[in-house]
Amino acid sequence: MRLAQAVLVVWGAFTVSFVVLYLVPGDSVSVMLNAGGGTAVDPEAEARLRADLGLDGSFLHRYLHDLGNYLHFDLGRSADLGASVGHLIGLAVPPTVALTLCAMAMSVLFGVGFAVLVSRWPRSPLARAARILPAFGNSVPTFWVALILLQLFSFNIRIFPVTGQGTWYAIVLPAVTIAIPYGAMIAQVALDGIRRAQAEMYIMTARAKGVGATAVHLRHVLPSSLLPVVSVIGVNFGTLLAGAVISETIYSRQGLGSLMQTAVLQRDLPLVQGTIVVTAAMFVLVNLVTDAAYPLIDPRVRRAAR
Amino acid sequence: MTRRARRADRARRHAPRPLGARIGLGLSLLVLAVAVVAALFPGLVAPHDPYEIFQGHNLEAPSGAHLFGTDNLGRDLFSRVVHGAHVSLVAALVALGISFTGGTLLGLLSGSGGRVVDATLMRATDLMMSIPSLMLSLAVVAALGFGTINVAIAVGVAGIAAVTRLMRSSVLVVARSAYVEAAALSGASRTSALVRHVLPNAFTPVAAYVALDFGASIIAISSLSFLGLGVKPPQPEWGSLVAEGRSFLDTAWWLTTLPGLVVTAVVVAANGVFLYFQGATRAAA
Repeated sequence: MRLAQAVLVVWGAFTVSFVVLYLVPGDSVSVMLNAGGGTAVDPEAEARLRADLGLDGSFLHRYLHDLGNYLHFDLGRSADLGASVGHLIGLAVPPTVALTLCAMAMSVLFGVGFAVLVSRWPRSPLARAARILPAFGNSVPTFWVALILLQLFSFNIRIFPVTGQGTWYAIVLPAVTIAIPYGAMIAQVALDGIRRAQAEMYIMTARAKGVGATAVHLRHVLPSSLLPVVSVIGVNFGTLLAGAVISETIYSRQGLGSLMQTAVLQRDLPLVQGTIVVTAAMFVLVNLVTDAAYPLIDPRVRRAAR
Repeated sequence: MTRRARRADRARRHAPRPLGARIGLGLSLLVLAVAVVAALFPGLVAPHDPYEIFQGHNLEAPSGAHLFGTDNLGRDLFSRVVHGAHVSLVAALVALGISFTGGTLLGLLSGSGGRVVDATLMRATDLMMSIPSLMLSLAVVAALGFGTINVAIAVGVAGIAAVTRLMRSSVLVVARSAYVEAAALSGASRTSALVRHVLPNAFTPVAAYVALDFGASIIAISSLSFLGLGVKPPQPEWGSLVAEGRSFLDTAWWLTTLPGLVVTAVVVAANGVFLYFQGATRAAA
């Protein structure tokens, strides 16, 4: 059932991007021929190239043609780079997966850690002041964070390399960059979850039994705050993917985001469409995984499913 | 609602919010007011022409003469940021206009139309939302071509689906209320009930999101400009100013840090307004 839904969403992403890109004045053929330097083009050769690529038919004809190709995992040819789109994306996906997973781990660790620390001593002035931090983390433009981090850690103190590739620790700055808005959001959700959990009767029971405040906080409050966090991880995964466009461009990392940026700058339409469909597929996949993880961590869901 | 419950409700609604929240709101409104004045009358706020080149004064650090320092060509960065506010904020307003007009109308249609209309529109928003919004904007820019207006349209279009959903859920609540029923019973036509009673009341809870979306649009637009899809240089815009300063990270920190700080301040202020009003409606609910 969920799988069918996921397939439907990927098909939808294909359709939306196809419709948007269909409206483009000029097509891949004009991009390809202009790449040669704007010399006069033989109209007959142009028409032949168009027919070869299936670009001469009506809207429906072209849509079915492209959809058929996609179903056979043939994503077409990049108009600008000449290589097949599937090949280019295949090269770009692993680094982006590494980047987003790394950033996700950081965000969950720091976001939840932050929420636990702040809510452990709710009355301390320091914790009260810290509470507004996530709101700032949400408002900072990613491209600016990336440049500030570069300035501090690559130029002032030379800890990390300027480019985000090569050595294993080069991934740290690009990942931190996109983890900031995502982690801020996770911290907000976790704080909310903790506030709800603290009002539960079983917390009072545990305290009344004589369990220490810190023990209650870690044993009882923390686990129940993780539930909303898990659901939000999947739903907002798009933030990480969007961040990857900026982060990969600035740190000149190879990946889906930087591939998409060059594709748009060159108006390389098959490549734009390919990256969008693959992005949507990744998005759906992450949501499938978080949905599957839900019963693993929540015994109530597990019981209901049985 | 009994009289006592109504009185309690009114008391809660008019209870002063905590001092901290009100100070936050005041600061946010102040920042937004300054930004709006700068955007509307850049000539009055900026001390210099944004294109004027001060010979021999290139890459000067911030000082009394040049508040934000100068760039590599010797132009006054503060004046460029002020003039950039005009481009960035007008673009953000265009984007807001598109997503809220489109979203409000579609949401109204979806919430009040038949089941087929509703189901179709909701599946369509599902599809739009399966693509991360920055990616969707990138695709629309690829289709429309580069330039500030196209970037604004792209960001606006990418935001329609979310507003549609908000508006629809609000319409569903309002359409069931007694006064809408009363309007229908008193002989008002469906359209008139929809426009005069449902639309204004359903929009109120959605309105707080205008502030939130304003901040998000500023970030999205400056991000696309930063990627090189917005204004043509020499014209200043917040994202492209940061992009121009990128080559001088090592030598001139102010070229990237200060424009970025301005963007952050305005977005934080917009989010502050949103949080205040969201807190207010939550306290009233």
